Amino acid sequence: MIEIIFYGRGGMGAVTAGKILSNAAIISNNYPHVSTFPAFGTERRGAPVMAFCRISEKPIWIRSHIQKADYAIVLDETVFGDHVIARIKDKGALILNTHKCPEDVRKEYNIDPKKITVVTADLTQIAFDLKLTNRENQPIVNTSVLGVLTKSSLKIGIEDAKRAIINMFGEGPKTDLNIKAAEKAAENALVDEVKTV
Amino acid sequence: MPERKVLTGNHAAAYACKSVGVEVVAAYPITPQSPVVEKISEFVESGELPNTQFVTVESEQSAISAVVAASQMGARVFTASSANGLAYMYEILCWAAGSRLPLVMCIATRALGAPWSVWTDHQDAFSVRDVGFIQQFVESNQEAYDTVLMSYRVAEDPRVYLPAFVSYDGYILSHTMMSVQIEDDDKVREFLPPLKPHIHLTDFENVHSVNPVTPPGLTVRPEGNTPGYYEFRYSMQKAHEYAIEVIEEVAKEFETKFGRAYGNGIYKPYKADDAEVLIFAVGSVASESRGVVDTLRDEGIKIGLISLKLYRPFPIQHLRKAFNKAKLVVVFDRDVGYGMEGILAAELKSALYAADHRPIIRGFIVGLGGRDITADQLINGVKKAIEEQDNREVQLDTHVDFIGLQLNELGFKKEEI
Amino acid sequence: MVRTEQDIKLEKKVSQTILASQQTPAVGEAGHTGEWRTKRPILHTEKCLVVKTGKLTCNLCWLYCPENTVSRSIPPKFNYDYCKGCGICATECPAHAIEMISEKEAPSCEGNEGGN
Repeated sequence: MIEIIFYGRGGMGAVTAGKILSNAAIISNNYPHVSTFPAFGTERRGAPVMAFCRISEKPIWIRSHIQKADYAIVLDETVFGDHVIARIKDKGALILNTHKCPEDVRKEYNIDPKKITVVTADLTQIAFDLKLTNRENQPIVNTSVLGVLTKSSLKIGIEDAKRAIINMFGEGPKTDLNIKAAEKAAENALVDEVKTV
Repeated sequence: MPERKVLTGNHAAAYACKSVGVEVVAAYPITPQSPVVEKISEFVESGELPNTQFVTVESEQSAISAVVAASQMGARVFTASSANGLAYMYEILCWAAGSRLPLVMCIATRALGAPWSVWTDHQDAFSVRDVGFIQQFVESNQEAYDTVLMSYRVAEDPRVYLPAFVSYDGYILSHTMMSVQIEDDDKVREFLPPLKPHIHLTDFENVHSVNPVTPPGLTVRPEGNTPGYYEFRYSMQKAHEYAIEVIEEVAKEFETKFGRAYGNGIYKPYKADDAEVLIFAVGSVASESRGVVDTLRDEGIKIGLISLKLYRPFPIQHLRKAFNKAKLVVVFDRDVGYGMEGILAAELKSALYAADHRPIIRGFIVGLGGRDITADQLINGVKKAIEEQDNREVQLDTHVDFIGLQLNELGFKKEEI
Repeated sequence: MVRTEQDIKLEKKVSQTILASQQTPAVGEAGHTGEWRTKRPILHTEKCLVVKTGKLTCNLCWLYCPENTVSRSIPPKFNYDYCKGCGICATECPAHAIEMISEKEAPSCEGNEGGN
């Protein structure tokens, strides 16, 4: 079972990201069992939110919040901090939406190179470049992040992610933009792997 | 072709209503139930449910009244609610059961106020224990979908004619997305033949008044003696007693047709065959316990789980068999019978009182008002119960244990008292 | 004593037969409840929508009668054996075709069925 936590802010689509990822997991045929849910609270726009996603080859029975994740995905850098790093398993990965490179993030937050892989991608910039924004002209990053995930050790390919995005939003120019963003994010992601030696 | 979808528990229940072709739906919104009826109203709006009437009402009491009336017209009906909304339905729930109407209703379980809470526990579902409904708990969204299908079949069986609840944990299932197989409508209709109602208010040639004042004694009428209130209630109790075999039969048929089984339709055992210690729980607590069983098995403890699916009628005979080898039963209740103990613990004790084999039963309260239940909490509970099982003083203690309290953090410290 | 097979069969039969209480007006414990009445409904057929249209259209008197003592017919008829004189039919009638008159003034034979 692989456990993933999404960090974001109310309205960014962290919960939807979890749902699309679940869809992609099922489409990939590698993870037939999924369970995705937010940490429910008093939801409001802009408040820090968390969404949990478990994908597995075997049925999932655990129903509690994810305490330690294989992947922590941060959609908004302003909610990132030590509390996020503390919730990543050994040999887990951090995926951060930032303009910084992984090495700088590692240095800044003192992340153990033997324990946590750091992946960064500037999803916000990609969204602005492609004009992938919502009505309030805010960047949409919850679909492009799936592109980054397909570059990880997850057995979910970019084609699975694309199909999941189409399933979610239907065919159309907006969906195409989302897919383009995912592809671009996959290309541009910077990875600093765990050093095993 | 059956379809695999990623759905929340609420939407899984809505798809089940679509599969069975419900005819009248009335509901009033309350978190976390609302999305189930919102989805059904989408189906009605889009024409996917062309023969369904969605009735908007101004309260939960009206919602259940509307579906009770529609059911008396011979329609297949559905409603859903949670917590305080369910409490507001209470009066008409008794009318639904008292009239033996085969309606199916979902409860997205939620803690009852006060204080105000929207998060899950099982208090609301247990608070309607004695209205006369069949009551079931589920552990996954697929089970929610399947149990709604089976419930219509059971409720509409002329040997039963009882309304049924399908309870799934608020948020933990109601808002959690899982993969759910949606079956073909045709196949579902084969499994669930059209409803044959026993009250026909639309039969204008033979008008009857339904549920008039029914005196304590029999009434002598031209058509013969008619039953008093007492006979109606006896009949309902017997209907519950014999519903158990119908529920088992339907579960078997469901497995043959759709290939999915939930234990025997009554309870779901997990690694229970050789278990000396058994956990007893329902819903989310039971599913969380599965991982706990695995962990403790790795530590060498012979432990298993009996996850109760059918809560009313309470399957006493089945439970006596299920627990006939266990030395210790640990019951985790996400509810309290205030002034007594956890409701499941109390009822299990009552069920096993006359059994040949009576294990020690130790109850704990967990996760009220949505407090996250972690595997560690449950493991601690089991270990505590194992440690104390031979301690007679502990067994005689009637004080109830709550697991996962955070009193220390509130400044209540034992060492400072 | 352990229940026999007959006991079980009987219990099942009861549980499958005594379902919901459904009744039509008849002599019950209280006898002819029409005797309780102080006012009785009478129909002014010239105003009645059912009579005027010659169709079973309105029939609200039939629908609302709590004792099922109004017939769904042209014209609607009252069963004075069981009508308790509550007056709901008169209140509900949209054409004001039903009048509640004192029992003392009531003609002994109304041409309607029943009567006491």
